[in-house]
Amino acid sequence: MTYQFDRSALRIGQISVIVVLALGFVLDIEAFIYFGAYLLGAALVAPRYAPQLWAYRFLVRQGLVRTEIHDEDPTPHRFAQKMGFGVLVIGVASSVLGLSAVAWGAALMVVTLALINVTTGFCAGCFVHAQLARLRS
Amino acid sequence: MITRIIILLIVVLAVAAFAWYMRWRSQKAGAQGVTINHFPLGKVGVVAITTDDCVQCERLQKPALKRLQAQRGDIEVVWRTVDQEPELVKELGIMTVPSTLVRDAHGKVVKVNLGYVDDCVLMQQLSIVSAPPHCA
Repeated sequence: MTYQFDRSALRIGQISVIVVLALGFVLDIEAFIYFGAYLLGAALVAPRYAPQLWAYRFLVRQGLVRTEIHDEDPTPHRFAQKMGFGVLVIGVASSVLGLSAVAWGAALMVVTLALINVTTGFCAGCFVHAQLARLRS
Repeated sequence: MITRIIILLIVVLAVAAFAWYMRWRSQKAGAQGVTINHFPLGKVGVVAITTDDCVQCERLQKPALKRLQAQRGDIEVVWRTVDQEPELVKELGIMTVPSTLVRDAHGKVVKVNLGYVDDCVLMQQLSIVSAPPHCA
């Protein structure tokens, strides 16, 4: 079975989440954590409602970004997105409960891992996915 | 706000340091002359690292390497498992499978790819160490 996977779309999505969470952290506005969780959740569940994908399509149409389609299994990347979403849900729950430090800690963890992925190509979530697959087998 | 900007800068610097380390580690293989002898000297090729249970290796990396060999019949492709190459895996910092090592004609590892790479990327990497026969 062959898969098609657009790495460029993934990268734009990661950069969007980094910008939103970093801006929220600097301005100390916890609503940005909710929005970051929405971005990741929408990309997973309903991509057509994900603003970062609208932005991506706009950038591609303007010729500012090029698609980068590879024959690649998207499963590990989707697992990584789920992990990021899970961490941000913890952040949102902490924020609702008034645990601001925990909420921002979760957001910064997502920022750090997304930055590592964007700059080095090392996907921590994919690494965890591979280890879990090994354990399961 | 200043404190938060400083914290964010520390995060960015730490990531930058990690990115630099990863790149340095990947380049070290070539710069410090990690050599492998899975096929005869004079041949260029790819050593693919896998595990017995690596689905991605079977489903994606193997077809990509077959496409690569179909395009360039002069290159060698060898599959090795992590268990067969514990020293090499440690030396090159291989953390995931599939990983692919591009080797030049002198036996030197010139590129380490962590994770799946398609035949186009490998073709580019190989063209740096050896032009296709009809271009040489």
